[in-house]
Amino acid sequence: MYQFSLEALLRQSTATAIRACQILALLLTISACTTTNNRRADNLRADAKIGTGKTVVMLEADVELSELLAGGVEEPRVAWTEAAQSNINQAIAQELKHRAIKLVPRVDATALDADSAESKAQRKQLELLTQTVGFSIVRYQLSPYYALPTKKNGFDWGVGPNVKLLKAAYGADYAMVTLVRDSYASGGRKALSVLGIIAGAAVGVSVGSSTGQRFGYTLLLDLNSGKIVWANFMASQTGDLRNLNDAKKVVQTLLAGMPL
Amino acid sequence: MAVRTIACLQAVLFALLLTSCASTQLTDVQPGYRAQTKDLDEAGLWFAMDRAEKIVAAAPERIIDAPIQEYLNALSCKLGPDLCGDIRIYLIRQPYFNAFMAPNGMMVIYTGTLARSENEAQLAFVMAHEIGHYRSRHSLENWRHLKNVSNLMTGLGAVTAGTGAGVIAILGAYANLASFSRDQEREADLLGFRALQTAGLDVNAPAQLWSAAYEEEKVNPKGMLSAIFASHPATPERRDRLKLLAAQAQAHVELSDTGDTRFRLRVAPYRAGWLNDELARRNYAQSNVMLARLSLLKWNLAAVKNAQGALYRRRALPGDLVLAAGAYQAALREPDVDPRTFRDLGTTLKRMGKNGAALDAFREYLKRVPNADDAAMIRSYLNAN
Repeated sequence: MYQFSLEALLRQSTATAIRACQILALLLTISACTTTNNRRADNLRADAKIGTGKTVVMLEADVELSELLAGGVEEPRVAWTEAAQSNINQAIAQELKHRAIKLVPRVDATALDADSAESKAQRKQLELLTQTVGFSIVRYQLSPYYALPTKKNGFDWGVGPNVKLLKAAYGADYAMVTLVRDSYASGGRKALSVLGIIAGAAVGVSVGSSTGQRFGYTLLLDLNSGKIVWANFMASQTGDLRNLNDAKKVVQTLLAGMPL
Repeated sequence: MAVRTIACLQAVLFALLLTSCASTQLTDVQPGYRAQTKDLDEAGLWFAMDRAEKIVAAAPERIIDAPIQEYLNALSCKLGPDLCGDIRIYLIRQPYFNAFMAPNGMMVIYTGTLARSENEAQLAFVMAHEIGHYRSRHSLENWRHLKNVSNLMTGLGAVTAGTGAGVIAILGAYANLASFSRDQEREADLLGFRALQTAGLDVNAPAQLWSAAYEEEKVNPKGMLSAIFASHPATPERRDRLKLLAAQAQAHVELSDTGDTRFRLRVAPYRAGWLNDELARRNYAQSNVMLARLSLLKWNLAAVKNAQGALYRRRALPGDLVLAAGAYQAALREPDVDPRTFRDLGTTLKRMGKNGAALDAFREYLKRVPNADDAAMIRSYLNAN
């Protein structure tokens, strides 16, 4: 039959996320932001602390690092991803250490063996739904270009009543969800970028190519109501998540203003 | 001076891009194979696919019933005994004729493939073809090729910027990409065919299935999504190649099992539901060809005729209601008919203005399913008359 393609597979379950991702990439390219950029969207006062005395589960940060090759193809890198994931998780844990909340141990939902395959699958679906809603928040709420007419008044996002499945699994009041995607240009890509600038200037055409970019978001999901109570997003083209100090800076940006 | 520098830079870069195009010959996977960490790209692909597999495994469209899962697992092991432990099968409820293989051993099969297969041998060919992709590491080969070609294309774009020559070169590179994947398809067909033969299954099945796919492809209305995915085209060329293979193999064939009985046992319970999914595509031209073929089989006839009735009723072209009523009546002559066929016949007759006959059908429906979800609505039809 047909040769496997990543796109075909992802179309099944994360079409929305991919579309949001593409728009976001486009948006970032257009605005050509070179500095870290974070936005916060919620109904909370700036100094609100809704987490005092509450339990919070930090779901494993979903991180993926890839190499941006000369032709624009992004190739996932295992060692980079593992290093960045570990750095980000460590940085988040450190950031949360001095907050007045109780952290519940993080468990991979698919690893809770006592449950049936069906309820495991349902939990995984809920986590994926939360991710997808996260992309929607970034696209429709945090970006000024795509505001939805129905979402203009206040911050109104959630994953619905089935959130009780996550509540039952983790027993926490809030779940913290973080997603980071990052790509780094290969040597060939950087060479092309330089060449494009020189050649483009000579013939009057812009053929500059992007040399990689990063974006991420953190959400706070209320496991009692299913509402997302807080969201933050960042995009940047500098820093290296494989380096703990840079990862800390990214996490500080992502968690800035989190009401916990 | 500046122009010269640019020309020189362009030449150097072009040369670099070309050297990166040297193709690598991949060896087949061995049983128990896992991507090696030192091969960055392969490790990256497997990593991404392992993640994707978690999503597929938890997908709401996945069918997780043990009998059919075990049947597919066993069939896969029969077709590739050495790779039995390395391939994991996921059956996904999608009405298209499609299946695909990920480099990490995840095989995804759409229910539309099972709904279109007439027997085990036909389904087995699709699976054996996919196992062939896995065995030959086509995903990795394709990925490396794609990287080289896309690097080359971007490079060509940069080195020929503003000259117009780039477009032709890039088109050439795209053509190269397409023919590369066609070669892989041919290789997987051949591997699949051999596996089918070794397993003692009917060697005529591949050509039958592709012939049927081509018949559906031919009638697909312009602008509608075909049930037959373009990535594995149903062409007369492919059908004829498979026919030729079967003719050549025929002389050596001792066993020629269609696996009809085993296939029926596992697929029959689902067929009515999958045909309903098929109709939801609203590609009635293709569904009509598919159902006509299935109606020649001697099993699941009630489900097939019921689906034909539903197709005509929904399409509702002039004369279709008469055809729909005829198909429903044919379904009702079958022993294992779904009692909802009475309701659907009633609805059709009502639309034809044959109220008396419609009421008879509705009464029969309520008699057989007194607690149906829509019983109250059907009673209201009866009471209004």
